[in-house]
Amino acid sequence: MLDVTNIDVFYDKTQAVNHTSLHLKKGQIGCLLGPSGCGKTSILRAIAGFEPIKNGEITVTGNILSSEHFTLVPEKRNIAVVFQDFALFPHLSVAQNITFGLSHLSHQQQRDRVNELVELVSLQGTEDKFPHQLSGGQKQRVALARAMAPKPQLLLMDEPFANLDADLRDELAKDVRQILNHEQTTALMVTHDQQEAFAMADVIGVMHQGAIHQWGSAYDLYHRPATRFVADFIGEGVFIPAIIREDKYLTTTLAEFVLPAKYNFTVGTEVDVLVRPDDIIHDDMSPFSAKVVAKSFRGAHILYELQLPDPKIQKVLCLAPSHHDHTLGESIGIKLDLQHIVVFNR
Amino acid sequence: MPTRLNVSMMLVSSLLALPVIVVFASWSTPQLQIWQHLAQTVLSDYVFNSLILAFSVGIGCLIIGTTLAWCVVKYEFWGRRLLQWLFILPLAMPAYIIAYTYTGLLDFAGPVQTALRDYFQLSYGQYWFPEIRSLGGAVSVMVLVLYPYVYILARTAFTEQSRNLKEASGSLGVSSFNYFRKVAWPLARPALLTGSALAMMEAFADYGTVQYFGVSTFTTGIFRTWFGLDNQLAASQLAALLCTFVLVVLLLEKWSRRQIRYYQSGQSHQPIMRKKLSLSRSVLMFLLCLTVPFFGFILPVGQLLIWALSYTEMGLDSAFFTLMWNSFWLAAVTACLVVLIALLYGFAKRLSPTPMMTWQVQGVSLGYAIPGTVIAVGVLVPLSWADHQFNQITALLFNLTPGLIFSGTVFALILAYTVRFLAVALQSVEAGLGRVTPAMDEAARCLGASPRQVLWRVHLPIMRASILSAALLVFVDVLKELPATLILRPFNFDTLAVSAFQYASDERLIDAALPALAIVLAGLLPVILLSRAMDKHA
Repeated sequence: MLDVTNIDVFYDKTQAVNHTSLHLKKGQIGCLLGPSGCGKTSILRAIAGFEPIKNGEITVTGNILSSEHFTLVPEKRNIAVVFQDFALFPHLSVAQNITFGLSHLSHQQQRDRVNELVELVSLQGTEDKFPHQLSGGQKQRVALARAMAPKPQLLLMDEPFANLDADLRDELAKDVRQILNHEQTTALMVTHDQQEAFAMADVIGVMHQGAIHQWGSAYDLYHRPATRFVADFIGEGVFIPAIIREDKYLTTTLAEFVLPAKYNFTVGTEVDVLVRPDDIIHDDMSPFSAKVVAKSFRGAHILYELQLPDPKIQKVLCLAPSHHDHTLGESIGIKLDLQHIVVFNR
Repeated sequence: MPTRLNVSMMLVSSLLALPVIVVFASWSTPQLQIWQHLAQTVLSDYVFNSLILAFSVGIGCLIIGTTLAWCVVKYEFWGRRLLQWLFILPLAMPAYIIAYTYTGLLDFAGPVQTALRDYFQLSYGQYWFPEIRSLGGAVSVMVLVLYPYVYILARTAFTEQSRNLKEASGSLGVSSFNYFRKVAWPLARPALLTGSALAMMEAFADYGTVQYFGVSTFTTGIFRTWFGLDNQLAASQLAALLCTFVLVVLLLEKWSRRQIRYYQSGQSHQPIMRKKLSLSRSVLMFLLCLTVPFFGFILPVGQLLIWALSYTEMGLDSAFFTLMWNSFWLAAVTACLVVLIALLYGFAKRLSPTPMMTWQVQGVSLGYAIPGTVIAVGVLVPLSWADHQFNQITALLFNLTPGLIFSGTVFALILAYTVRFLAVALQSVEAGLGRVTPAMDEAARCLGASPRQVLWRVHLPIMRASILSAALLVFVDVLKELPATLILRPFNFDTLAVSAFQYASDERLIDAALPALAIVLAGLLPVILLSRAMDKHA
């Protein structure tokens, strides 16, 4: 449905997006995730038609919207955008904001669509209010309703929850997902917050320095990170050193593993193995022990930072059930239980 | 497209900068003889009087404006709300008009001296009475109408100072007086000095008051050199000197704020805690504070009303309506034009935010600091030249001499007003445009609006209030403007300000009352607008 192929975006002479591609199927919710300045918003702006592209092309259902020498103006794209600061028109009421993009419809049709949308985003009773009279969450809902009103073929959302309180954020993310599903809208959002991405998206692209490192599900990003950056950026974890032995064996201080078939290292290579906090299991019977150097209570679990005797390994993290309350400086037995073996070159 | 925009904006900017450039360029042909004459006779008076006038007015406004603002922000007393409003009314009163009324009140034949003579049984020469038509008199009347510049900025600055600061100081054992000296004053200082600098620039620019009071300053000197000595170059050179003084004040003001970027940490929007005064102190405070707007507005307006209603022979006849009409359409046309140009600059800066464009906007904003006399000189010199050339060409080609089509028509006036008042409109327009975030443009575009529709459906409706207030401010400023109008008005074209000035110069103060009152009443409109905006802010 949306095909972005090998695009470059420049601001003056700085390159914000570098030969990047992504594809969304109809009804899918995609998300670009990355630290600020990674180029994710630039991709969004290029798709909306606010920025030209220098290379590649952007098509929606096969129609070219942008290419190296052509940029279709935003008003002809039928792509809606929800902005980070919502960008509601301060001089228009909620209902007038929602009908802004519906001037081609009759008054009756406009009214019907407003009623439908107001109900969908649970804003009944606010139709005649003005933006300054609304709370942050309500503004967000109006922005969404306004964007959805002309039934866009694609909805873009730029950090849609960044200006909201944490509680509100979760509630809205759930609602928005439901609304998008209800309207069968294809959507692409941008965020720096992985929880938000996990809550909203079917597919997530992790971006760094203008390129998408991995395009996949939240599960894949966490358990099968394609690059060291993705492994670092998503979730928590540490790398522990290992050596490739004969017969595709991998030796670490804590355990030995069979190297998955997809890797192709020569014998003797020194590599790093990704260890997530849930890969380290607290086991009093284990021959390995480590010293608790820091801990943070997380309700059901406690995240321990453990120092192994091996000075080459800095520290590992261990997510233990919160019934096991160990004091700082205590040594506890641990066992490495890797379900997904992720290895990177040193 | 942006390049075409940049080129056209450069042209507009050059036209607007022309008067100041012409004035300064006059120094390329020094008029040694005239300057020798001036230096031997009146130049020291010009410099001395202008400087004394400006600095005294600046300091007087600083003291009165700051005191009044402190009283209404820090104390709760009977009549405070009324006073807050009364304090800004003198803004509607041009200095030359208050000068006429006080001359009428305080000169030998005026009601005050007559009453004193009757009461004490004195006759001429037997008693001393301060002469209002003097440098001191000019300083006094100007302070009475210019202090609101400081008061308004001081009130905002004191209001914005967080209550926590006062409480923190209290907990550290700082007394109320020391709180003002050590915390409130240093925090508000940049704003107060800005207000004071504005008052000083107005004092430098004044012509009506000093001319009427017979005080020789740069502005009267420019008129005398131009029309008396008939030396336009020397007049331009004097104008350049005056301009330099004003620019120095402007630079000093900027310099005084050089690293001062005080801001209030955190968002503290607690209501201000005012100290409640007892009833007797409350009444005393009210009466003391009332004296300033009483002398600055109520008394002079009362005097004008009495003159206008009972004594004037002129009445509301057709001549007066011609005056009203001239002033009105001139101000209205200028206001529309100036707002249009301001919009042009606003949008140009938004569409192409290059350093060049920012620089141009700042450059043309300087016009407000340039005295009307200087601009008038700077407009008249190149336009006379253009007329001369144009007539020569048409005479050669068509045997026609159309006359002074640039310098002798309202074209010259409107150009001068535009240079002087563009900053007023620009400020308003830029504030309005600032409320339209770039994301709003983009939101409208992706909802199917073309750039032209974005302008009509988003920008203009959001900016409507700012555009209206910009037009109103320029309208009233044009109505009040005197020196540039005097120099540039077409032959036999009188406005309210010019006619008030001429009646007063002919010692017909009573006849000057009606046009003067019309100017003051029109001037009240933006003052009311301003007071409403300030209340909303507070």
